[in-house]
Amino acid sequence: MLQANDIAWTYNGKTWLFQHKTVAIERGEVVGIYGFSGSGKTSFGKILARHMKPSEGTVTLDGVPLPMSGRSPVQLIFQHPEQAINPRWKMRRVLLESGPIDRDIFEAFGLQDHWLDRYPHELSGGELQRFAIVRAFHPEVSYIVADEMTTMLDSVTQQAIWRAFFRIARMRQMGMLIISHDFALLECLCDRVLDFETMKPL
Amino acid sequence: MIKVNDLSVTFTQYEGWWTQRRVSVLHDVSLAIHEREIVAIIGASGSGKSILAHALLGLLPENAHLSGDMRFRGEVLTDRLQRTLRGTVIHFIPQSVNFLDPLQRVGKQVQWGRSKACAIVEQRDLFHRYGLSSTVAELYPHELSGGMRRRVLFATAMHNTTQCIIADEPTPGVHPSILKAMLDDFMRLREEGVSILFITHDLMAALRVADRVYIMKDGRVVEEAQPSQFVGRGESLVHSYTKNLWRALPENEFSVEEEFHVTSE
Amino acid sequence: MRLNERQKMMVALFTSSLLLLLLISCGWLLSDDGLQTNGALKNEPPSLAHWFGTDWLGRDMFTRVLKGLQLSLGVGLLGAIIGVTLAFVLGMLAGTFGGWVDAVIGWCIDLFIGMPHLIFIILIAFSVGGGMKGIVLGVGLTHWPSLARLIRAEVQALRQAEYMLVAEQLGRTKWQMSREHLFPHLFPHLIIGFVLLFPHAILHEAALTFLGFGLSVQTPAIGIILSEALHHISTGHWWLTLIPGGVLLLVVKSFDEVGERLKQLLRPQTSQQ
Repeated sequence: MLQANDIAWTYNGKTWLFQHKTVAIERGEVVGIYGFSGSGKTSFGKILARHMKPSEGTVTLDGVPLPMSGRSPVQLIFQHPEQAINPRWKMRRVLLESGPIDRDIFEAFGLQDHWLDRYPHELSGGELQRFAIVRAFHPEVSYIVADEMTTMLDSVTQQAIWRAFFRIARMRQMGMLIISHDFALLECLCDRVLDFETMKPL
Repeated sequence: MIKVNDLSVTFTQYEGWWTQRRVSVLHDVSLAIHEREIVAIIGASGSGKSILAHALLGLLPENAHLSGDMRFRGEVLTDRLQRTLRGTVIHFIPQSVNFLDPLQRVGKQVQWGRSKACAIVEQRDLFHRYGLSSTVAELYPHELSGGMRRRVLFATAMHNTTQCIIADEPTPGVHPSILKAMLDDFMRLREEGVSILFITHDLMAALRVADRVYIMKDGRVVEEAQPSQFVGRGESLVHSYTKNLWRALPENEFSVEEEFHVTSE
Repeated sequence: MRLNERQKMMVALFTSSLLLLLLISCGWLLSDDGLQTNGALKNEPPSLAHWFGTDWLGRDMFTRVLKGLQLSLGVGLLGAIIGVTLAFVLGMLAGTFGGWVDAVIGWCIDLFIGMPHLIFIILIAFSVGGGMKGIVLGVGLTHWPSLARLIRAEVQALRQAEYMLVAEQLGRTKWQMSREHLFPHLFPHLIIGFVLLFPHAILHEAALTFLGFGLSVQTPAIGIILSEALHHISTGHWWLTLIPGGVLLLVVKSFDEVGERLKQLLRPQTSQQ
């Protein structure tokens, strides 16, 4: 179980961006967080994926703190894939950073072999995001935090990405935290949806 | 008001060190924005909708080449005309929040270009309307969250002299009440005689205010539709992409028969 | 054939580099014979035998200028290596550790940028005993701040880049991330910084020597040539000042050109223009 206990975050020690955020996600469970730009939900996602230390509170995985080095069992997927991929690298190298990739996953997201020899700017946003997702599914991953993962994409691509995403995630009994401002989307995808303001179910 | 005929845009890029190639980003785009009209352009990132806005405003980078015809009230939109219209008659709400001046307080930036007598009052009104507290006016852009910066950008475009607004993705992820305030403003401005080009990937937001909708995909306009056509399963829509776009919305079925396929080459 | 912008740029880059190479290799190939004084050939204007003329001691000016340039380039090379190394190390430290390390380094940067270069160089050169060593150290120790500031900003920005966060969550170590993401990103900046340091170093070397704080009068350096020639400027022997000065400008301009072109090529914002 991935647990965030009473997390708070402040930039400067004076004003709190958010406080008292508690959530627990079981493996195989899909939890939605409903929030808006400027509410701090992106920072919350980064804290869960150990990119930032919370100003208060702890993040634990099955009762123990997240390991601070090595491949993280919690993978964060960002909103803008063009920023999450080194623009100087070809896609083959981008994928290899995560280690050898399962062919099934590669194919589930419809990645084409000839894309591997392209640079990021030669692919569309939707194609890049699929690479970013496939890269996150390394063998040790057990939780995924998706921060506005399909917000920049059209609804057709969005839907196809989530379909493939769920097929893999369900197969591997992964826990998922989906952060979005799109309530209708969260309702479609999640077992339960929490309001980021109150952390109460909606 | 604005008429675009067969607009194509290509970028020159370098392949390796020597050879130049042309990448086509807009193909024969034609569209019109009439007086007192809100026109929405819907497309995914990479569909060319931002390029279109930048072309209309004359903000494309140097390596862009245009062909086709753009007119503002019958006059050809030359560089010179674009410069005189920009910021006075046509206002731009850019997608990138980097368009704010990092060295000026945001309150000041909203007051720019307004008559001295009412600049401060107008700025306060605007801040109030978009849920920005009065202390925010004294802050610099880097001290604001992304969402707040976006609201400031929105406020900078609201002028008395404005006759046309080109808004590039002004609403991503904002709170529903802020979104409503922005959309209400669009409708109020339309009543006051302003034409608006509303570029977004949020089909639902567009349908709430738009008089007409253009759908863009891969640098082309694939369909022009009325908001009333987006009902049921989208039977009255023409292009299959538009239909799928409508059906794939989570608000609707979230289930088109679209999946990724591995094409063998 | 019409050249595109990139090809024009490459031609300019190539021409400038070729010119520099030519000057350097000429300096190597020339014998020292031309440096001998020769009473029979005093104050000859430029001719086929003596392209740049001869001076008041009958020395061949062509040989003197090229040998002088060679020395200048040597000084430039060493100075640039010191400057770039300093900039890289300090910029990396400031950008990586932040906090008080950053504060101290930032303070030094401001101090060095705020003070006039020349005074610093003279002080440093003086304190290590002048000569070649003084100039190299003086130039190297004063020319790191702007590059250090750039490196610091780049490191800071890249540490926050989302693809670095992804690399971290994919289990890459700090060292791997530096090697795979950070260095390839900084490398072009270092190259450009290095090339652009050259003209500075050469000009400062000439200026310092001209002012008498630099090399001893026996060494064939451009600065010496120019300061000596100044005494003869009223005699109508124009070639003694005009040609060495012109060559110095040409070399400096060539380096500048190479550096600016490289900058344009390697920066993603301008590389497509």
